[in-house]
Amino acid sequence: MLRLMVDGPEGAIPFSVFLDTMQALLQAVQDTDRIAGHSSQASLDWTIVGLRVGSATAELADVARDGAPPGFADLVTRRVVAQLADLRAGFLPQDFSEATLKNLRNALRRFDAQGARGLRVADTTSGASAEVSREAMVVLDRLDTAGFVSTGSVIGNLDTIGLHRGYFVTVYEDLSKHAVRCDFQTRGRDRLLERAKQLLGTRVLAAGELSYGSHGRVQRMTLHQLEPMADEASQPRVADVFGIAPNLTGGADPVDHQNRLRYG
Amino acid sequence: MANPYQRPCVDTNVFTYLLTGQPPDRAETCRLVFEGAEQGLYPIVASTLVAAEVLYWTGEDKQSVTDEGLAKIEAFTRRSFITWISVDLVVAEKTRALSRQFPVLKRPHDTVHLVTAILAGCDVLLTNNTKHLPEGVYDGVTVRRPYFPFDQPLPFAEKATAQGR
Repeated sequence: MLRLMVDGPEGAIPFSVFLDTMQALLQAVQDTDRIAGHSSQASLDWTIVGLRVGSATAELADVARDGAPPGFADLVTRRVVAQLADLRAGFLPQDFSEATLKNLRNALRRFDAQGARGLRVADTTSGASAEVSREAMVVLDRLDTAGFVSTGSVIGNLDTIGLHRGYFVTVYEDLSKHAVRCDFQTRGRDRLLERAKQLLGTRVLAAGELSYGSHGRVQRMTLHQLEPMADEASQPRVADVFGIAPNLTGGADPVDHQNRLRYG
Repeated sequence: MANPYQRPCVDTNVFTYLLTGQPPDRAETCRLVFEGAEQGLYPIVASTLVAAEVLYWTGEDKQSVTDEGLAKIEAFTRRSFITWISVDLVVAEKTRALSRQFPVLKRPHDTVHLVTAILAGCDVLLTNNTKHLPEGVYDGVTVRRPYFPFDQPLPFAEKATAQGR
């Protein structure tokens, strides 16, 4: 079970602050769920099994959707608590999306000494907990500072085609499951749009100019190229490539061959 | 049975053992590692540096691969159970940082694979290059020689035996 608490004197915590904080924490739990489960959708629902006033506290029990493996809720709970602890220690939680982090920051901005003073997340099974206060905004404000730009690519599922404020697609990155908005460059825009229509819903490689946030996560991309990654059914299997190139190393052991490539 | 892993990262040599099929004992273990991923037991993570190295042609005539073989291998690297991590500035900076944290890591090329594993949240990096990546635990990632800690045989093992491979 997961306990979410907004800490402060009884009767002084604004209801809207409580709701905003709970909403941001729920988003954080769902982000962690998706990433721990390597899925674009969360596997767990949560129901309230206790609400308390004093500090405002909600106790939540998980309800596993179809396909959630045994113990998955415990894993998600542990990770959420650990990532709040990371935030307190000065690091941006890796599983939380940028939107979640910004919502968390907006909630924390309304914390003060008289009302909501801090938020606490606890794993009621293990007893582990983490608490953050308004001071965590220093870490979250890093979301606004410039990162760096690099050419590169993102591999993942092409989920959305958008036409609002310029053409773009959204790619859900394979590993992080974070959405990356890929804006079309003006040149070749119509060609890219046709390509995107063909590839909608499939796994793609999107290449272009990547803008990273200061926390080292890709925030968006100017798209230059869109390629299909694989039609799984037609791709070679492990059995098809096992021993397919016996002379690839010229007879050398693969480690020796690799070291020769790297160091001569 | 050795500890099961949940998200292995692989060095270039693990791919190469698979593709050459040599030497048989090591190649067989690497085949099982990939077979496990293909069957959905876990995703395999690799640096894009692996994709560059694994088919790198050094100009030696004896290093032959047919065009058909090349095409097949390139298509294989795009299978969805392989997650590629780009060598970008984040990886480069962490590689530098790790060299200070672990003086035993002497070579940047090798350390890039370890950093890939760390940043991708892997629990293990599989490599036979233990000279440059000594076995141990680095930032939560265990470096080990390739192993397969799950029940065998997998279906292909039976098929391969029947084919006399």
